[in-house]
Amino acid sequence: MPDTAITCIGIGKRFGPTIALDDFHLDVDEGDFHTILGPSGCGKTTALRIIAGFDQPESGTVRVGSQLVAGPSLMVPSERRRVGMVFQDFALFPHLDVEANVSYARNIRPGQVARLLELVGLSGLERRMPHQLSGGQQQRVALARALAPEPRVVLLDEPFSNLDAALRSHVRDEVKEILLEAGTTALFVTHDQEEALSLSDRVSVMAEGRIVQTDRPADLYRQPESPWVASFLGEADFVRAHAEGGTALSSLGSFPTSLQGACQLMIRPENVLLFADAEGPGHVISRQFFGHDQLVSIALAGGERLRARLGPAPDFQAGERVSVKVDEAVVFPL
Amino acid sequence: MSTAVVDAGVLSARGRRAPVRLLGLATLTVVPLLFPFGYLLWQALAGGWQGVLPAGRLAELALNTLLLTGLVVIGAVVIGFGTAWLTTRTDLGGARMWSTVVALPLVIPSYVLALVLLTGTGRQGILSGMVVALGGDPLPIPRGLLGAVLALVVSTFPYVHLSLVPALRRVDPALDEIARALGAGRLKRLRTVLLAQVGPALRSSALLVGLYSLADFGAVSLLGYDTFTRAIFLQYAGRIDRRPATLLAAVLVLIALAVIGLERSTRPPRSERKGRVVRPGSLHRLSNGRRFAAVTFLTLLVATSVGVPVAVLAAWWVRGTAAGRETVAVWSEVGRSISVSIGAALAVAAIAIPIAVLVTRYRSRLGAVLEASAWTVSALPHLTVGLALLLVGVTLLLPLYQTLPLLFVAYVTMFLPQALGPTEAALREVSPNLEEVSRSLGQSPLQTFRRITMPLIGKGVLTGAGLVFLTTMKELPATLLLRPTEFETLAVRIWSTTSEGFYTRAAFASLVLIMISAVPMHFLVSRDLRHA
Repeated sequence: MPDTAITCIGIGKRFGPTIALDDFHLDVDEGDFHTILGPSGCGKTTALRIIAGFDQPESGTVRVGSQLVAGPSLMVPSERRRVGMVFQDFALFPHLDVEANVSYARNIRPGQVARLLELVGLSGLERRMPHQLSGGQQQRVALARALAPEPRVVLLDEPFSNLDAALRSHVRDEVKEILLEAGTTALFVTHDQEEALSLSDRVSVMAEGRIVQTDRPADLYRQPESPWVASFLGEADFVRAHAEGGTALSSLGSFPTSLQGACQLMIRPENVLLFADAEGPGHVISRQFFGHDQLVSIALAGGERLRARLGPAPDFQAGERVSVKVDEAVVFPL
Repeated sequence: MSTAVVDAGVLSARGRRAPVRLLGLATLTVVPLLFPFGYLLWQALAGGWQGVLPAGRLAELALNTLLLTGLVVIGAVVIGFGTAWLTTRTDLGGARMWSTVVALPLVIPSYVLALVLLTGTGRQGILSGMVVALGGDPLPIPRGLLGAVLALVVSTFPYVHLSLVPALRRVDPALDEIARALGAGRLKRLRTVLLAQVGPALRSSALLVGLYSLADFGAVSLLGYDTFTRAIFLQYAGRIDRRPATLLAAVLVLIALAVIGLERSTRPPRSERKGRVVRPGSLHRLSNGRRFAAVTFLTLLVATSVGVPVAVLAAWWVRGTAAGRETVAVWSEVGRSISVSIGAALAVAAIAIPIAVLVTRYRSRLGAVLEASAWTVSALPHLTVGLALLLVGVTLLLPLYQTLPLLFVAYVTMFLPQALGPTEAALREVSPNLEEVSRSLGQSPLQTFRRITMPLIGKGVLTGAGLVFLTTMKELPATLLLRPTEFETLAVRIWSTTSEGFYTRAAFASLVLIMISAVPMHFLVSRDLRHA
């Protein structure tokens, strides 16, 4: 088993009457690119700030590596945690040039700054001031600066949301590559599902102040533990079913389950196939055509709605009757 | 199940508990500002009311002060509203130029304006000379109420102008258009739309002008109008018994506190100050005739409030020197004024920094209390600041009596908010993220402050220091009471030579003072009344 880079146990934090974190648990493995994914206001930034040492938790403990950094009557100041931070706004020191920003930290090994500037592809721009850099370049300076003192872990708070959409996926790949190259554990916070799923080794989904599920991206998407997580991660429709003897039965087929009695199926549109069929149990309500694919909404015999994401053909029309085949579904209690 | 609703990241940046050391430091600097006033009020109460002052004296002074204050407020508001409206709501053009020019009178202290009135009128007056040359009678010397009103209106209308300009710019044109569409006439729109929107700014600037008139010492004392400040100074200077001066000062402090409280309660709410972006309103179009009248009005106003004073002083000085009257070098006073002002500027700016950090970086009730105390105390009449500290010096801290440190305490008391304002504004511009990143890179709070925060707020701190320098240069009443014996600043010299009738010397010293204050004038123009 790999060592853990960050361990949070039972953290609680409130701001006035607002509860930001409530019994928050998190384990981040050494060397992982780990993401906390949650809607805005769920407390994910607070969690990051507590790990970084900017805020003090009211209860619970935080370890970085094996060092206890926050706990009852203990608060190791940020400067003694060896935790790097990349902010959403990059927070480059505006009065220092690129080199001075990257070499700002205490205890940097000789040659480290040049090596990092090389790594992030900014060699030759040492004398530039932050305002003379593009958004992507600023991002890389912030990253190099955080990596310079060789932190045990780097925290990134929504680091791509300040970049325009065209640039974002490119910068995302770059950052991932740099972090892999540097071999540093990274904990990253975002509200963007696609970003979380495409970048991470592991994703922790957060809601209302606590982590609700942690898994590899594919497992998380295909095996969500609750309807809420399922809907939060992507398009999902729910259809009633009845479970008996290890199988959930519905008009759409049967799926294995350990549940008994009334239940529901979570179905993702890409797992639905439609066939034109005059005798079919469903009919098309509407269709959105995107070119490379189409999203077709249908109503089933019982009035339940379902969406199917299909290739550009066939050309479904509203009102057309269809039969439905579902490849994969997750069974949840009702 | 708990709920987490707000964006906690934003909250937490300001939600941290302040370090004890910072709280201690801030408290240590503000408590000395409050104590002298408490002591003054306590001494006044302990001294008793009976027999301290002749019967009816208090009522007489209150009436005189009220009359002066009322007239100055009316005059300053009418002129200040006029200039602000002309430069923002009409197509007059040159708004920025006019706003700068209209604020120019701020470089001339009220006691210099009093000197201008004394040297410009009367049989020897330079303005009288011009009137006589045109076939008129010499102008009478406007001693008493008339002169005091003239001097104070000229020194205060720019404050009204400066605080109304932003308010008038924020006026939402949509409201006026709706009123127009609903068939409201021009007068009704003025009342229901325009005044309703600038009302808070108007009320607050009127109260601040009132506070200024209440507090003025220089003009009323030189022009011989009997108000609280003049009476306090005469009582203090003429008697061994300190009780009358103490009692009068205590009453003045209470009146000023009432006005300050009233101003606080009517001040426009924050949201309105920051304000959303409104579409710039359609400007009132001036006909050619009216445009000419408006330009003439503004030109004459600037001429009489700045040009005439400078010309009168210069002419008097030239005439006096030509007649062989000695000017007496004021260079040692200039040196003293500059060095004491630089010292005050540095001290006040340095003291403002921890308080500003406390207020902007932490959620601390103590910080808010300290800041409010600093603002309140600074708005009290300077003469009472001087008297309160004098009282403390004489009775409790005799070694400090008539020493520079006590004078510096007075400067901090009076001018702290001038440094606090720009320093806080600069700190708000610096994202707390920068400081946090620095900490995460292994730098201690002090190193972070030295390497990140201080370089980034340097300009704001300097602006604050510049403002303190300018106002210290001009400060009269507290300096007069607290200065070490023989320690004559430029302001004190102007006041004493004027009151002794050595107008030529006073004129020269005044010209020097105006020149020194005029150089960094743009500092003052860009700030509103609270900072000026």
